[in-house]
Amino acid sequence: MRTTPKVLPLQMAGVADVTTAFEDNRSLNPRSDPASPWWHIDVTPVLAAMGLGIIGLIAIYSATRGRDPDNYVTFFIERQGMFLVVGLVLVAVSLIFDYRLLLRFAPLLYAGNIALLVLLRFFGAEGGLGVRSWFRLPSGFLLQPSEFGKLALIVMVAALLSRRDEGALGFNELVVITAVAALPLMLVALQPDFGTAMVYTAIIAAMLLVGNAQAHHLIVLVGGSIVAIALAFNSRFVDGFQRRRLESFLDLESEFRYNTNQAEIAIGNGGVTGTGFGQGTQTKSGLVPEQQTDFIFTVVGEEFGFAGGTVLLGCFAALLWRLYRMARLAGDAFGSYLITGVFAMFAFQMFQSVGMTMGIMPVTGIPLPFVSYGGSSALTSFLGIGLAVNVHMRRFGAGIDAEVGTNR
Amino acid sequence: MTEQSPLRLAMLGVLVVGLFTSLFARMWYLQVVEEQRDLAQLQAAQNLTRKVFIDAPRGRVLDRNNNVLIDNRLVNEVVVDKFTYREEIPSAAGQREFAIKLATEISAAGRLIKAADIEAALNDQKFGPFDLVPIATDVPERFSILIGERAHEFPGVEIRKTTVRFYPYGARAAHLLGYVGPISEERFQSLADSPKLYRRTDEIGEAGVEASLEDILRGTPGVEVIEIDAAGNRIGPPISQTRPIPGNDVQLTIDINLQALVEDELAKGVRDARERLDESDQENPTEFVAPGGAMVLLDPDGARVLAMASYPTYDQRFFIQEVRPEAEFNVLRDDQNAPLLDRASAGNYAPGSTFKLITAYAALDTGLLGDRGFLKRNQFFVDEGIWRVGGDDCFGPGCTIENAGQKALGDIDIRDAIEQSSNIYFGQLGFQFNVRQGFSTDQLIDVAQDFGYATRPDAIAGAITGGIPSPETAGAAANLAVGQGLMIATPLQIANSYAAIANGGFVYSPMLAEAAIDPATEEIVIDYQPRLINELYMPEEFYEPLISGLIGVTTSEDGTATEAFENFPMSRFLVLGKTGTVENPPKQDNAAFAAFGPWPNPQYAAVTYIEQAGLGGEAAAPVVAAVFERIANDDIQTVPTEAEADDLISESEAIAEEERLQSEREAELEAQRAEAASDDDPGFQVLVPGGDEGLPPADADDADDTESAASADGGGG
Repeated sequence: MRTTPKVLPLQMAGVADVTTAFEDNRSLNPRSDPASPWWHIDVTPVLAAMGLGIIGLIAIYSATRGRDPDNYVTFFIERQGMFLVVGLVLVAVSLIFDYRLLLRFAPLLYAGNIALLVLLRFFGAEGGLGVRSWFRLPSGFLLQPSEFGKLALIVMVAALLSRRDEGALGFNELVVITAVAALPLMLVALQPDFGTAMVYTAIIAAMLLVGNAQAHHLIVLVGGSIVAIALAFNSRFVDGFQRRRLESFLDLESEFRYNTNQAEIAIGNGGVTGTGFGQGTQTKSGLVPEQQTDFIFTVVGEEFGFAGGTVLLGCFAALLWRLYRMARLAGDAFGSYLITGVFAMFAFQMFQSVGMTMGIMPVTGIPLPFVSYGGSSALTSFLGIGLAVNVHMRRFGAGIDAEVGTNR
Repeated sequence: MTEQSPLRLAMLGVLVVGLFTSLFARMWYLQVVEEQRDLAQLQAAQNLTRKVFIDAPRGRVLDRNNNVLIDNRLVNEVVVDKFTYREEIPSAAGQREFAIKLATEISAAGRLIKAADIEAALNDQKFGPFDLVPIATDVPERFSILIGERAHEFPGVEIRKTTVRFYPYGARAAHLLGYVGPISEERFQSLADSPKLYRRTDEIGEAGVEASLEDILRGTPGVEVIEIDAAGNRIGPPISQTRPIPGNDVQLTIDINLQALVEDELAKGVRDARERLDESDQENPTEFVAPGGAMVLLDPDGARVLAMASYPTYDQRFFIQEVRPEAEFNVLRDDQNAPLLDRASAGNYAPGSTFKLITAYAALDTGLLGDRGFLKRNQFFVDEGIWRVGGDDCFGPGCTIENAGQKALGDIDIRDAIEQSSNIYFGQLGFQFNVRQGFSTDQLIDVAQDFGYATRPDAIAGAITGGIPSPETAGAAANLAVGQGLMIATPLQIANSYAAIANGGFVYSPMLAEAAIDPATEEIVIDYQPRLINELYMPEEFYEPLISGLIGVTTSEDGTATEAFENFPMSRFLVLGKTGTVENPPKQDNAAFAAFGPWPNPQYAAVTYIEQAGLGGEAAAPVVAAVFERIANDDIQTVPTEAEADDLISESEAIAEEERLQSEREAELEAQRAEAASDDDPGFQVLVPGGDEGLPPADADDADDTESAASADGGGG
């Protein structure tokens, strides 16, 4: 286990009897107490996230400085840097509270999220093409409730899954969970924000899979989703723009292939080692749209090439590997489901956002976690990491934090 | 409470490994596989560069004395930025309104244009969504000022400078010079590889010299390769740059003064013809229709075209306009007198009796007129005025050949036959070609082709080839020999064959361009040489009879054109010619006259051909005579350019104004005196208005009288 290496620094610091030292200093320093959750903290996901965040800062700088480096506006990297720092602080703060508190607050979080999504329809800032996904906050920030809503959904579904009896997921439970999950999903889809709706879908699917939903139920659900999506795309609820983007993915001749084409050219232009920082011609001349957000992978692909892309995907691999491991080692089902949800969220968003720039996924606006510019996305992603670490560090039972109410 | 399922979690893990694998595979494919990578890198390079074309001025067209016939002029052009226009005015109704408003304002500024034409141009698929669409050229400065003041009302409308073709001599030589127009999609496709770098929005020579010498006149546009961003904004200095190369000037064989003379005389000839009476139907004489005609003046040395005119004509300045008013163009195109048709090089005519000279040469050359032929060269033949081809064996049309008015010419040899235009003699030759052992009408056709008939004069854009269908019956052969029937020739071809006779048997392909000249250095880039296409065998014993016959036509008492040359200074300038009166049923006869002079050193060969105008000697020969008379008297007026003409007019107007003021002052003095004298006569002032009212009808009557008198005169002459 990983506890031994974590001890080494202390031994090197001259503490002779490690065990005694911990026992003696338990009250002084929680990090030196093996029974303290702080003892069991795994910082790898945080490091991976920070790595991705730094790659993101570099890419955002390249994407936004445009063709006129002399008059560069530092707005984007300043903001993103701030988001990363705030994200880290949020992780640290969130770790103070036992994740099991969330079991109590899950319905509240869920209801709050639904309320925000409903309010969005009336008070949301109207973006391009009539999309209402953001609240405009004072000082110019845009808050995207559907991002934080991912976590609310994860918590709620995890709570529902963990409360049931042993064995496979029953039909009634499945119906309840599906209904609970479908409500925010519908609200997001109606914004319309199909990218985020797809993330919601992926999260629910992964959690149901791990939550022992029966195979035939899963098959029916997956089949039903496909039919629902097909119907939605043919209904008047989907505007022409969204539909054409999807059609462009299926049809190589569509004029809407333009974005994907430019993105693919950018990535191909990078070759193995990339054009070098600030040298990407596709990036410099702004031929790829939304390059600091949804299409950020093209900057990495063009300027740092296959090598840079590998580092980025490597960071994700490390992050996901640690999350997978945490999910397996989780002390309770609730925690395991929580991490499963976070894992699915990152995995799908990464695949969708990177895959889209390389033409293997349809174009939908989804940020690449930690990398894309955007406060809501960055904070949500860090909170997700915080949640996973929280579960992981408290995997050895409720005894330590007995005063915190749990249902265990 | 349940345990989480490690198996299900592992399934999820495997799925995610699959996702990673596909991302890596795709990344590998795009970035590491060489083909893909190279393609992307190429596209990326192209993405950032745009070619910007800098138009090169088109070459000028000069006459043989370096008078500028086609020049370039810098004018204001109204263009619409399609992108801005569409952004600002997305609705169809708004666009309609915009077109109407723009048309109104441009028209008000003095350059007439229709809203429908503007709309058509803006919807033309030829222009991309970010292109500037030309709407109107040569728009007065007034409109530029208006746009400057009211730019917000006309989104996307801009004024830029452009060059347009400018014709210093106005509509002179319209058919010959031709015009430029927007390149068609097919033309554009066929010129895709041209080093002259054509673009879809370019103009190209469409007719006349502009078309035939397109290669010389068109310059090579300069190309700047610039770096741009996705929005199309330019970044930094150009990556590479080639300077535009102006087109070369072209010096023509045309003499603008002769051209003007020929045009004016032809027009006069056609108008005169319209005033004469066609008396072929004696009970119902009608006026000749004479819808149009053509005249060609060649230099027999090299068949250089000195002047070539077609009547009626059009004003080629009409074609300068970027957006051609469709309705006006249709009027020109559908006019029954076909003003757009260059009758000189594309008129579908039978050569009529002018062809007899060719028949005569063919008979001499093949020996049909010779010791073993039908007649000996100088042998006489009895012309009875009417002849039934091949006796009773002939069926179908063309079996009866008769002279004009069935006039019997009696004993005639080849000279007399030419002089008096004997249909019987030449019909007989044609018949003999057909029936005689060892001869064939193909020989006649071959000789005609040697003279340049049924051959396209490739220097002239739009010229037709014409044709000589092989006669299938004896009657048809007889008709071919007198230039009637199905043979098609143009006035230019007829003139060219007479030029060949004039120069002693050298047949050239007509020549229009003398030289291509670099406009900057004035260096001759191409010195065009006459193109000899045939050298006819022309010994004295062939030549003499032909020439004698032709001299007879214009000088002898019985000559068919003698009347037209009655007062001609033949002693100084001997003109030889041949008339033609071409049967054109059911329409009236066409009149033709082919000639050259001054014999014995001919410097000019000319043909006048007037449709539905009657006898060649009466309608066509006088036109040639009038032109040759000016040449003979060295009385060629220097034709003023339009600008010079305007100056002349304003000068004469100034004189007239001066005179008017003078006479007014005198009249005033007169009136004062009269007033002083007749102060006591009150009735005088009452009478004056009544008298004034009575005057106009009287004037109209007078005018009518003059007109009918003139037409009567015309008929009599």
